[in-house]
Order: sequence, then C-alpha cells, then structure tokens
Amino acid sequence: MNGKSLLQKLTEKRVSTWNILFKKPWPYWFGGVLLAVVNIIYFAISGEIWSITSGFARLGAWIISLFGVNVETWEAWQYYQYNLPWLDNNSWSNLGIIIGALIAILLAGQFKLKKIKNKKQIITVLIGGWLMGYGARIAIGCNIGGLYTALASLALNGWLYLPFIILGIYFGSKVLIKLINY
Amino acid sequence: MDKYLDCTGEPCPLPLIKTEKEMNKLKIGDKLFIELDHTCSMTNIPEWARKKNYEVETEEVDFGEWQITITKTN
Amino acid sequence: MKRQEFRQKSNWQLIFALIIIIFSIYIYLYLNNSVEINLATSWAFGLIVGFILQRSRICFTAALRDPFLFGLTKLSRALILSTIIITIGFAYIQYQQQLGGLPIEGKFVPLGWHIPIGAFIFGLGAAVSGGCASGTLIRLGEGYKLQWIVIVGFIAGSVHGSYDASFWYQLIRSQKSTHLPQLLGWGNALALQIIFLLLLYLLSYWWEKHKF
Repeated sequence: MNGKSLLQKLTEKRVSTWNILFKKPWPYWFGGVLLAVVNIIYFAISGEIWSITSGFARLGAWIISLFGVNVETWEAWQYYQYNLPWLDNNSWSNLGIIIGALIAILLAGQFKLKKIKNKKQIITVLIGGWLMGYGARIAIGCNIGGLYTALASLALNGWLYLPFIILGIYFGSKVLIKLINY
Repeated sequence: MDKYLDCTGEPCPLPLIKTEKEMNKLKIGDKLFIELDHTCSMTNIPEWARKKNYEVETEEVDFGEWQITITKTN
Repeated sequence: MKRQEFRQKSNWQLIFALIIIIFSIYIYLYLNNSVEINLATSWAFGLIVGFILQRSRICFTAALRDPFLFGLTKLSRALILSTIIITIGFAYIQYQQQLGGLPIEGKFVPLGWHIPIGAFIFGLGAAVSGGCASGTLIRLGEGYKLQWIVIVGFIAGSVHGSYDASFWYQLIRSQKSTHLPQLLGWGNALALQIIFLLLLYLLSYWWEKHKF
C-alpha cells in the first residue's frame, strides 16, 4: 500500500475514464470515423442524406412568407423541395446538431456564453454569414451537402466543389488577416 | 521578454496567426501566454507548437477559457 | 483564487446536461409517435453528429484552410479518412438501390458555373465568419454569441440565394447525371475516387513533413 486506498484508486480510475470520454477532445481521426459511420447508418435506415443549408433556406423562406411574400413559386424549389420548417428533416437535424454540441460541452463542464470582442467583428461575420448562405444556395450545397455527402454519393459535383471552396477560404482568410491588421 | 496575448472572443484562425507572429519575435527561452476561449484554437495552437518542438502547457482558467503557455525552446 | 474555485462549481453543467438529454429523448419520442418517424431519426442523427463534432473538434473550414495557412494537415487527413469510409458505405447502399430497381439517391447537382462561383463565395464567407455550416451550428451550441449574428446573416443569405435562383441556374450547363458509377461503371468509379482520396491523404502527410 503506498498511501492510497482501493476506493481512492477506483474513483481516480472513474474520473480518468470520464475525462477521456467527455472532457478531453477525441482525436480527429476517431471523430472522422464515427462521423462516417453515423452518416452511413442514417442513409441506410431513413434514406435521407445529411445536408444543412437547404434547411436554412426553408426556414428563412417560411419566415418571410409570414409577411405575405409568396415563396412557394420560386424556381429554387425545383432543386430542393420546399417544406415547412417543422416538417423538414434538415431543420430537425440542424437543431439536433446545436443541442448535441450543447450537451457535449456541458458534459465537459466547459460551457460559457462567450463574448463578442468588438463591433467590427459583428459587421464582418454578418457579411460572412450572408455570403455563406448566398454561395451555398447558388452552388446548391454547403460544405456538407455540396462537399462531404456529395463526395460520399460518388457525385462529380462534389469534386468540382472542392477546389473552389478551398480557394474561397484561402482568399477569405487573407482578407480577414488584412482586416485585423495585426 | 515574455509576452501576454488576449485572444478571448476571437474565432479561428486569428489566435494561431497572432501566436505565429509573436513566437517569431520572441527570443529563445521566452514565454508566450495566450488566453483564449475558442475550442478550435485550443486544439490547433498546441498542435502547431508541438510540431515546432516548443514546450506547451495548457490550463483551464474558467469554464471554457484556457491559458496556453508556449516556451520558445529553439 | 478564481482559478481553483470554478472547478468545484461545474456540477450545475452536468445537471443541466442531464435535463437537456431527458428533454431531447422526450422530443424524439414525440416526433416518433405523433409526427413522423423520419423526423425523429433526423433529430437523433443531428444530436449524435453535434456531439461527435464538438467532442472531436472537427471543423471543415479549418481542414480546408490550415494546410495552406500553417501547414497543419492532421484534421484534413482525418476528414479524408472519413470520406473514404463514407464513400464505401454509400456506394454499397446505392448499389443495393440499383439492384432493387429503386432510384439511386445522392447529392447530385447538375454541372455548371454556378458550382465554382457558389463554392468560392461560400468559402469566402466561411473564412471571415469563423466557421462553415456545421461549424456555425456547433458554435451556436457551444455558446458563442458571435455565431448568433452569423446565423442571422446565414439564413438571410440563404433566402436571398433561393430568391435569385432563377438567375443563377441559367448557368447550369448540362442536366446529365453526375453519378460517377453511371459515367464510368461501379468498379472504375469507386476505385478512382478511393485512389484519388488516398493520394490526397499521402500528399497532405508529405506536405506537413515538408512544412515542419
């Protein structure tokens, strides 16, 4: 016995298992493998394929339809069907992702409402968000539906998407570095 | 001269860009303290520093807030 | 000292997590029993994906950016590995669909200039707002106030893009199928894609060695 009782040792072991599972970040490759497996199961049991931004388009279209805009006749819906947000798979999976991440960070005990540093940031990210939404609708897909699950479906459009999203991110990062002028 | 960097509220990749620039200015043996609250930078800054063979220490200072200490060893 | 004290107070986060988990299960059961099973599946899928992405810190923007900005490719390689696995799984399901005489499902978009232009604009936005589509959702869950603004812009931009669709979709060049197996045959398509992904993996590995 070197100073520690069996009970102490057991508690320590429990704490370290908890830390590995819920506190320390998982290795990237482990997350990547799980992500692929979960997506395959989802496709197999529901016939749905993961995508994000078409859900945003439906949600936004529904919101402006409340103000009397006739959204259902838009040509866009020929490429991705119009649904009411609460009857839309993408809206539910989007909400799920937010809540899933919240559960994960709470279990890690690292949740905190994180502040915004300055006003310039607000303008930058508002424009950035707008560009993302607009771009994703033009290309009919974001980094998930246009790239990840497109490549998964052996679709040529995924390969066309890849070099240009990389270019966009590269130039965007250069702009951001210029903006902060550090 | 040790240097303190406050990166709270800054999204990826800004903390790592600043870290890279500051580390280049430091002399061997100096330390850089980075305070941040971005989970993504919390993984890629230590990864980058270890690749550079610098000494890295991380400490959680508050809920979801960390301090990374990098010692320039080469 | 603040630094030691906060650790003992983190129990409320656990309790909060448990309440949300119970609530999420309740929503799942409600959707499953009274609305539509597929919506319940999507909800559960979202929860699991959000959990995995937060836990493993996977960020698609970083994977596509860090190799070029910093020479870090660990995350990119993990996502290439992920793409190889998902390709095999999806190909198997699609093949079964074809054998069963069902329409083959997948994310097929007719080719044209709208894809490069849209992808480039999306990339620009993702870089300046600190996260792509999945990253934005994860960070909303993690409590970043900045992402509340991103999501407002994101949804507004999506509607704007859908509204302008009739203009942009004039750029569509061909309505032909983009499904590689229909163009090249199953064996060739699958082999080509996986070999190409493996090459990308090796290239990233070599790139990181070269950079450090």
